[in-house]
Amino acid sequence: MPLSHRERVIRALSHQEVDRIPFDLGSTPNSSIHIEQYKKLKAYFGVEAEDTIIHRMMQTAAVHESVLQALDIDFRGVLYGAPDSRPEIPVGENGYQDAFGVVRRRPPDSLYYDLEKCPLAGSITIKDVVNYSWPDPGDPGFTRGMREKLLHLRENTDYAIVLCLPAPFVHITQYLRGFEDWFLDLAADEKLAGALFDATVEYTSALAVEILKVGGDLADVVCTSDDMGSQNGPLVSPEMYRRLFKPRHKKYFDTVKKHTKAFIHFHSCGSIYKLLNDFIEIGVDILNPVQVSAKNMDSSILGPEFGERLSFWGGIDSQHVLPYGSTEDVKAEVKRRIKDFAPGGGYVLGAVHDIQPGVPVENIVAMYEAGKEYGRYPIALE
Amino acid sequence: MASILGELSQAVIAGDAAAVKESTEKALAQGIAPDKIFREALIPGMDEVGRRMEAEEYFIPEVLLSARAMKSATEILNPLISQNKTMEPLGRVVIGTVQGDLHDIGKNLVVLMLEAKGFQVTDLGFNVPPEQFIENVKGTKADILAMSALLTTTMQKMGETIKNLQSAGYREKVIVMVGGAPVTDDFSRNIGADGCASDAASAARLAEKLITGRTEP
Repeated sequence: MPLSHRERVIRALSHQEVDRIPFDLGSTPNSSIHIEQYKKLKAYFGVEAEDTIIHRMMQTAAVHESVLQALDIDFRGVLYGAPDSRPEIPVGENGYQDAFGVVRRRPPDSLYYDLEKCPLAGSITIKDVVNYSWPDPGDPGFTRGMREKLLHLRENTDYAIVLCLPAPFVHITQYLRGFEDWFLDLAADEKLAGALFDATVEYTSALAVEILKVGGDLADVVCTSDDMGSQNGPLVSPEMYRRLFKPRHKKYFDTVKKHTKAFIHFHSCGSIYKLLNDFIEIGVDILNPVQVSAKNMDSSILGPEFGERLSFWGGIDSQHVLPYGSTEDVKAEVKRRIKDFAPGGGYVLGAVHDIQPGVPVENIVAMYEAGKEYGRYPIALE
Repeated sequence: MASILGELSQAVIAGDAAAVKESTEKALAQGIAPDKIFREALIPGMDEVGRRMEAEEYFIPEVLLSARAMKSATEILNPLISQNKTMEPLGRVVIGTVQGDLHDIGKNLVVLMLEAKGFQVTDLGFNVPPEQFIENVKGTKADILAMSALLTTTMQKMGETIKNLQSAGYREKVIVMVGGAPVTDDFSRNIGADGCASDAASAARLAEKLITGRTEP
């Protein structure tokens, strides 16, 4: 009897070899596709239904069920909602203020929204952090309809369920503080940085608990994100990560683990090779998006060194191969990553991050076709 | 004399803005000329910061802190240099982040590194349209136009600006450098730029190399 999608995923993430590697598209806001490119992908599959944006800043699209089925995607994602008491407020032309008071604006011809105004930027003190007003984690808007969606997926489908949780603190504090002040705090005012981190983790942990109370028993994977890397290295020194960031990430993951047995999927862009042992130590089961073109992040390094302790989700190069390669290049890329990541289980195929405009639809389809061709176990690739 | 310049250099490396300001004022009080302070304290200090970044000993927080500390020196020295007509800058640079792009942390680091090298820099900020670049290049008689972009969509404005320079008959009069995360050597060559750099330290070195190459017989 063939494996169900869910069974395939659970065994793969438990580092067992199954029938084939699992595939993802669209189960998280960071593993989906930009709306501009999605329109082309859905047209390829003859889908005319309306679109939904699942992440406004990144303009990421929800993928329709028929496209997911055509590509034989193993996961279905469930997102938390927005707080009723803090709706988004339009600000001028193409701008909006979010639930944290952060203002973003989309320049003409831009694909995304840029950070424009940060409520805690500039010269602030710990008092400002203490007085900052967070959304209410108990706001019903966050979890409205969530249990029903999860139950529907569990009872009527055999897909593996991914439940999204809030980012612990790095992204949020960067948006609250502004990037330049955020980095300067780390160098010049660790107390302030730490206070803001702690206040944020308190809020995000409380919200994660509310979400997990509703759906923690039904999720196979919970996903969260905090980018710690850039193209050439971590954003901060490993020593600073361990001193200022790791304890807060650990606190968040410990809270999550108290409320669900699901695998923990952690998204961090960039070159984070030097932090992987730390992530594993604090409970990360799955790394995403695996930016293989960043420094020290090639699959030939990561697979052998971490493959038994960490699952890799993503890994198909999106900086060079997917946008600029031929379909043959894409197939060769998929073959190469499967060879490095898939033996012993623990690999989920997908693009590194959301598929962007400019990636030919043929390349997207070729990626999953190659996954089927090369991703059958036992993996025997030259 | 040597020790105050050494102290200033160390203060830049340590990112100590107060100590940088104090040491700069002391050095001036001792009669050390501003351009010597740049050459023998600030440039070596930022060069060391750049080296530490490339060696993965310094990361963005430390580099930004040193950059901010260095600003305490350049705020004092730049007015003195521009007042002193006998002190020629190494070159004049117009720099900015291109139209539609709001990212400027990297570009701001390049500004600091260029000033440390002895360039006079006109920073146009971010979201700078091609016409504004060209207007300022002409107006300041810039030797170098430096453009930064962080997005593959906005980097196209770099090529547009170079084409506009050509149409204005001005391309041969100015060196064009480009940089930013998506900018590659191939892209730089394809749009007809004179060079590109992947970080602030190498950008300043490249600027010096390009301008020296141009002025040498």
